[in-house]
Amino acid sequence: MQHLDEGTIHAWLDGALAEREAAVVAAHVAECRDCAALVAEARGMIAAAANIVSALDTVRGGVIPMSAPTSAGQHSLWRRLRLTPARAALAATLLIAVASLLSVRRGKEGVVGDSVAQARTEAAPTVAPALQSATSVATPSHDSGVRLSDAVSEAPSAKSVKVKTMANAPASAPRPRADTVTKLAADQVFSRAVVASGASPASSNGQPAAAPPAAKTMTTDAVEARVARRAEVAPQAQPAVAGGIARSSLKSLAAMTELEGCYQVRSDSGASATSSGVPTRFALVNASGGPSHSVRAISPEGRIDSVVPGGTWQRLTPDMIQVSFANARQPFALTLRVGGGLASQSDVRDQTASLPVTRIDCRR
Amino acid sequence: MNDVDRLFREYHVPLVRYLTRRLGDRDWADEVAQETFLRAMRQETIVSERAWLFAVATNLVRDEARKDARRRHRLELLREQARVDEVVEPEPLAIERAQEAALARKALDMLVERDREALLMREEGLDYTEIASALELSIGSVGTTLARARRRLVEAYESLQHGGSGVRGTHAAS
Repeated sequence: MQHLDEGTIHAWLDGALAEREAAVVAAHVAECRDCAALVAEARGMIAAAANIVSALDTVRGGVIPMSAPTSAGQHSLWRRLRLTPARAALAATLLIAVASLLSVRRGKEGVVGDSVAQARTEAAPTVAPALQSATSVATPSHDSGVRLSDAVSEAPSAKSVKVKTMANAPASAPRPRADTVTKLAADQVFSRAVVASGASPASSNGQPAAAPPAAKTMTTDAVEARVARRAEVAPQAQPAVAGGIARSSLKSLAAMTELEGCYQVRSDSGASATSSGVPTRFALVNASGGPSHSVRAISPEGRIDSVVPGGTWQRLTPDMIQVSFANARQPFALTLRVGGGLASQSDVRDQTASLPVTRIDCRR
Repeated sequence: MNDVDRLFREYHVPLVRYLTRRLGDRDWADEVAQETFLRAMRQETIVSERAWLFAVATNLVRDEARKDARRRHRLELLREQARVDEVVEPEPLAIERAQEAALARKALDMLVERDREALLMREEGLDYTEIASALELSIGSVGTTLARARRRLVEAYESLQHGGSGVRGTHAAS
């Protein structure tokens, strides 16, 4: 047989050859040192090219980060007004001052001097709870403004409230989470799965924090981050395509994203995956948000690498996914149960065996 | 058109990523993707959905690039300007990543258009039949196209890493 040409080798490695042709190529590679060297080189080219292409992405591993839906209704009025505790305290002080002034004037108009004194003594007991209330108000909570207004109505003493609230305001000013976010992003920038899991807890807290980590993860390249942020909300603004599609697409993506990540098949198990040509480490990539997705190899450095030919995965039930390797030497399928650890069943030529699969940090 | 909803869910993200990699501009990629899906809605039947979508998107990019090359140049200038304006003491990791991305972009731009598109489509998981259909190639030539694209991309990237100005056998594409 003639030596293999580069195109055939790449087609073979990409799993694009017919079964019979692939078998001929495999047999030749096993015998021919020159062609085996070409195959090794081609493997390197495929992996290197995939790496270079993935460097174009704002986040490694082919991720287009997804932001939590940030509809206007999710932000409180106070947040939209950028109300800080310090500003709230200042506003409270002004309100109290006005209220006190009005109260005193009314007293002067309608009642004689001792009535004013009586009003002062009546007002005094309310100051203490008002102070407590106002102090507790000066917490990082963005709802503080509401409680603060309650406190204001109870507290006609402007000075004391002012002292308390202003003293507390700086200490309680909400600290930006950017440091944490940046560190998280820096640590996990190459791991698509980790990026995704980093976003979900924040969104589950009802905070629109999914976007900031994603934006920061984008290497603090401000332009790309800005572009990505715009792009993240873009799918929600496409009524021309189909009403509600973008939103449902995001939901679907979020569900599938939970399952994304790197997995490792323990090679010491009975039904060896490696004998079937299945990589012992692979990444599940949710590329499209659809029902079935590609499986990618993981480089020794922990980067999510090229597509494993014939590798697909799909969600069978809410807690079960199936990973298939159609182009392996033996067709191979894993069923992974998610939650409380991972258990799996592998199917090799209709023989079912238990095969431990663990979720791993992609970089290890 | 059988199911636009499903089509959008399945292919919007990979299509936008493909276009973003191809164009280097996410907003532009979104615009082209949207136009692609609009055309899909008008299409009565689509045989090979993914190949059809990628082919239409690729053709839209080609048409637009031909019609308005200046726009792309302007966007790049704006990006550069914004970069200068907004980046304050970037972290080392960010610099490294930005350099990597810039090199990758340059290396990719050094490929001929067909090689570049075939490679990006393959990276999105399109099989040889789909690539052949989208780019109007014979299936037998897809392997050769991909092999050439990969080799040239890697060579160009390495050359740029070492400060080289060009790579044998490659040339700048639109």
